[in-house]
Amino acid sequence: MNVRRFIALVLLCGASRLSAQVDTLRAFRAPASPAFVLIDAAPTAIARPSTPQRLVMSLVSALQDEDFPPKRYALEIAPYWLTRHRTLTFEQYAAPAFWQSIIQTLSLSVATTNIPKPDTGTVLAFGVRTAYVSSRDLSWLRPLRDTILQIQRKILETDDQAIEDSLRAEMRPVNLRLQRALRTERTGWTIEGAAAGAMDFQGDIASNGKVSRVGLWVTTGYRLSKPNADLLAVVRLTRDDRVAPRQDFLDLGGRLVLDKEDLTLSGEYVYRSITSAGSSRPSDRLTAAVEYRVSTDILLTAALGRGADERGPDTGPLIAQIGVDFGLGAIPLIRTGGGR
Amino acid sequence: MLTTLKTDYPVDTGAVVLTIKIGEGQLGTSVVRLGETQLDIGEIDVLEIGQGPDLAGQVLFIKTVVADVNDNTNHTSVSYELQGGKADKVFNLDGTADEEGGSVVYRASFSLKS
Repeated sequence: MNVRRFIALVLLCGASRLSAQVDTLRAFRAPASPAFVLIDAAPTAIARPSTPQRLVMSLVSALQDEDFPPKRYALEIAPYWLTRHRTLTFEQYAAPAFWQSIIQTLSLSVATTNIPKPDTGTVLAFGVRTAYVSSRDLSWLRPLRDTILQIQRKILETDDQAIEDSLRAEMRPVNLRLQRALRTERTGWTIEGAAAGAMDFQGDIASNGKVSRVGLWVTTGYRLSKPNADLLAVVRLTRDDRVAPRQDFLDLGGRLVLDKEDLTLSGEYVYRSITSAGSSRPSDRLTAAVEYRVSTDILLTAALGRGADERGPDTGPLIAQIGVDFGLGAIPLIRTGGGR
Repeated sequence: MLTTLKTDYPVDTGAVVLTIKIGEGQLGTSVVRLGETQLDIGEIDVLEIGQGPDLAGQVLFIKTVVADVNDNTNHTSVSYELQGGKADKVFNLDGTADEEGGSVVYRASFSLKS
């Protein structure tokens, strides 16, 4: 293909954001609800009681279910937020000390589902998750905080209910923006940990209960604001006792993303080991991607790497893609894979 | 849950001091008025309202607005702490934002009596 035809093809088609394909670590990160993830439950309704009274009501309702034990029950609670915290200031919440961070991010998840046919019975899973954020610096929130405080002053200065309502409506998107910033834009270290265990009750008989799966996740990240950089490392350990011999999975990975104006560089390494009956099968994947934003809607991307099937310098399949994203869809322009 | 309060506060011979605490990790601002006079607006921490004998018979009015910036809860709370009267008192008010990222407006008035 000559250069002109290649450029024409690039401009006529669309391409996906290739960096997304260099983000396989997402699946190994500490999940928000480890109990659901461990048993692959995708509950349609999750009870998230926000008060002790609602928690009791949810449990009573589940126990009164026609099916006992309840099937497809999902509960997620943040114990710390079930009660009032009149002395908890914004600063203590947004830049918490170690124990405050642990307790305010602690969440418990419970899920039940059916044991896959032809067997009958119930799978019951428990999970726990918490996180620690190291940064005490809130100066990066100053612009949002000042905007909120300015609107609040205007609310305080008026006695007109209509103006007050209008100002409160004006403030809401800023409040939500601050909530989102606290979730996603922190700098410094963060560590998230999660654990879950599942028990199978064959025939719904309590004495048949045995541990079938166990999972442990640790995710740690470091974010710099200048230069704009994200470092992420993940560990996931899972054990599956449902098969004989038992299988142990170990997933390790790291990801680095650097942003410089319109240019983004990212690299990722993932290692997986499956151990069964004393023997291990390791595999790994190394990928790197470059993105360059030509304009608001046009993104040039390229990715290169070695696949997960084989190890060694001469056996790994090559992953190589280049493309352009018009913001219209996800169609890779060029893809080579499956060996050199 | 209570977002408005109207009560008495007996003053004494000393200075009356007001502190306002916003709980639940939320962000709030208050305005404090004594009669028609605005004493302060913003974060209120150890604000001297005046000497007890001068305050007797007046009304202390406080309006507070709290924004729900904590995505773990929509609860908000405000504590008005009055010190220096015949007894130190804490008045707790609670409110829940009716939607995520909403806000709650509190109003409290204290009749300062000798």
